[in-house]
Amino acid sequence: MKHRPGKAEAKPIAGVTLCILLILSCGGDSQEHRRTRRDDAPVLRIAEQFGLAYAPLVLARMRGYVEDELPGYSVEWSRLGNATAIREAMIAGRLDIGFMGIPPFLIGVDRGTPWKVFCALARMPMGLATTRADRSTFADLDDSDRIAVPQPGSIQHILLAMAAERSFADAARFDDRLVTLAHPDATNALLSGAAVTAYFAPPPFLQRLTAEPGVSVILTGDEAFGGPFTFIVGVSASGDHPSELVRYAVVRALDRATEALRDDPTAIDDLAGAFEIPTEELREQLMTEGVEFGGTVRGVGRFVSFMHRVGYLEREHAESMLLIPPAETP
Amino acid sequence: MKSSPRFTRLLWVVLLLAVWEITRRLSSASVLAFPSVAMVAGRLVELLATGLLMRQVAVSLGLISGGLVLAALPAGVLVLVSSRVRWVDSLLETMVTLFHPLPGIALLPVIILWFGIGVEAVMVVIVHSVFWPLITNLRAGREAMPAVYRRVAENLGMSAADSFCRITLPAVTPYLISALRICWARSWRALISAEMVFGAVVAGGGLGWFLHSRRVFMDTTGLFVGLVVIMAVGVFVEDGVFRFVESRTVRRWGMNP
Repeated sequence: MKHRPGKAEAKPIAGVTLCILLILSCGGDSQEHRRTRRDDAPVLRIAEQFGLAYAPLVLARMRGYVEDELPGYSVEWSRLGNATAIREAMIAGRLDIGFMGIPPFLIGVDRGTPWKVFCALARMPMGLATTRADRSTFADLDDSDRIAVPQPGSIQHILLAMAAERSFADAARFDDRLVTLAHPDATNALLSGAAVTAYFAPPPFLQRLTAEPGVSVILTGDEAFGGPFTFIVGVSASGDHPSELVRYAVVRALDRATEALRDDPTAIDDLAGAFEIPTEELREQLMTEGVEFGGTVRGVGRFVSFMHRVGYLEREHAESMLLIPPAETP
Repeated sequence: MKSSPRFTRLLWVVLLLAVWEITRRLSSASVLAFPSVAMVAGRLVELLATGLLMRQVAVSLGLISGGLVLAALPAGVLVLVSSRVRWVDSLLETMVTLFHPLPGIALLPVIILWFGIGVEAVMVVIVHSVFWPLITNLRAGREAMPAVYRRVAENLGMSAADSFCRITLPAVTPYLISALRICWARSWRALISAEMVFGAVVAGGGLGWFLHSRRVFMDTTGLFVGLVVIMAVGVFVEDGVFRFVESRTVRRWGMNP
C-alpha cells in the first residue's frame, strides 16, 4: 500500500494556516486600539512587593501622595510576590515603575531591557540567620547545608555569592544548594528545623527570627557586600518612560511619606494596620539601625563588577548608563 | 506506509514553527517575552553543549522513574489483594474518591511541614500524583475482564499463579499501559511544579529547576529551550516506550486498546 505522505492533510494544513494568519492580523489591530486608548487618559502603573522596605511606598499609596503630586493622572497600584513577577510585568508593558533589588534590575538590563534606576527606596539591615549551633560563622557552612533565598538572582543570592567568594574562593558554591522560598515560608522552614540550614532574611523577618531562642546571624548584608548598599531601588521602564515629570513626582511622594513616617505618629498607625503588625513593633523595626529610606542609590557599581566577574551578567555595564540622575527641583 | 503519520506530524510541527516565526516577525513584543525560532534553536545547541541540561533531564527522569516504581508496586499489590478481600476493595475505593481529586501542588504546604523540602518531599508529590490514577485504572481493568476468562482458567485447572500470569495480567495490560501513560504525564507535572517550589532537590536540579532558574535570570530563550526539551522527552517516551511496549504486548496479542 503506497500512501502519499501528507497529501490528505494538505488541505487542512492550508486551512489552519489561513485561519492563523487571519487571527494574527486581527491581533495587530486590537493592539493599535489599546495604544490610542492609553494615550487619552494618562495612567501610571506602579508595583510594590512585601516587606518593611516598601513602607514609604505603601504609605504613599494609602494617603494618595503620588496622586497629589500628579494631578490629572490615574495611578494604578499592584503588589507582586517577587522581583521576577515585576520584571515580567514590565517586559509585558503592564508596568511603568517597579521596585526591586539592584541585582534583579541588573539582570534585566543585561538581557537588553532599557530600564533605569531613578531612586533609592530603602536601605535595610539583612542577615543570614541559622538555627544550627554548629554553624557559628559563615565559613562553617558546608556542602550538606541548604540556604533559603527568595529567588536565585535575588539580592540575597548575590550577597551570598559575594560572601562565598570571600570565604571559599567560589562564588557559585551554594548555587546548587539554594532553596527558593518566599520570606514567610523561609522563616517557618528555618524555625521548623531540618529543611534549611540558613536563610538570608530582610526586616521584618530578620527581627522575628532573632527574637527566637537559638537563632544566630552569621553574616550581615553589609559584611557580605563589604559596605553599605541600597536594598530596593525604583526602576522606570526606560529613560524617557515614564517622563521626568512623573518620576520626579513619585520621588517627591516617597520623600513626603518618609517625612511622615519620621514626624507624624499617625503614619505609623496607618502603616501598622496595612502591615498587620502592632504599632509598637513597627515603630521599633523602623528605628532599627541600618533602616534608611530615600537618599542616593548606593552599590550599583560593585554589584555590576561582581556579577559580571563571576558570570551572573554577560556585560559590564557603566553605572552612568544605569542611573537617571536625581532631577533638579523645578 | 509506517512513516506517513510521522511525516504528517513533522509537517504540522514545521507549520507551527512557521506560525511562531511569522508571529514573532509581525509582533512588536520584546524578544525577552517572545524569542524567535532561531534564537531558541541556537540556545538549545549552546545548553546541550554544556552538558548541564542533559544531566538535568536525567535527574528529572530518575526522580520520575523512582516515584513511578514507588507508587506502582504498592498499587499493584493493593489491587491484587483487593480482588480477593472485599473490605480492602471498598477501602481503596473510598481513598481514591477522597484523594484522587487533590492536586499535588495543593498538598505542598503540608508536604513541606511533614517531609521537608528534600528528595523525600518530591517523591511524595510524585507518588501522590501517580498512585490514585494507577489504582483506578487497575481496578477498572480488573472489572472489565470478562468473568468467562476466569472460568476458562478454572476449567483448565490452572494454578492461581498461572491464571494470574497468563489470564489476568494480559487482560489488564491495556489498562496498565494507559494508566502508566496518565501517570507519566501527571508525574512530570508534579515534579516540575515541586521543583519550581522547592528549588534544586538534588545537586544540579532537574528540569523544573532549570525552568525556574531560566525564569529568574530572565533567560526567556532558555525557558523555551526547557519547554522544547520537555516536549521532546514526552514524544520520546510516547513513541520509544509506550508504543514500543504496546506493539510487543497488547497489539501482538490482538487486543488493540
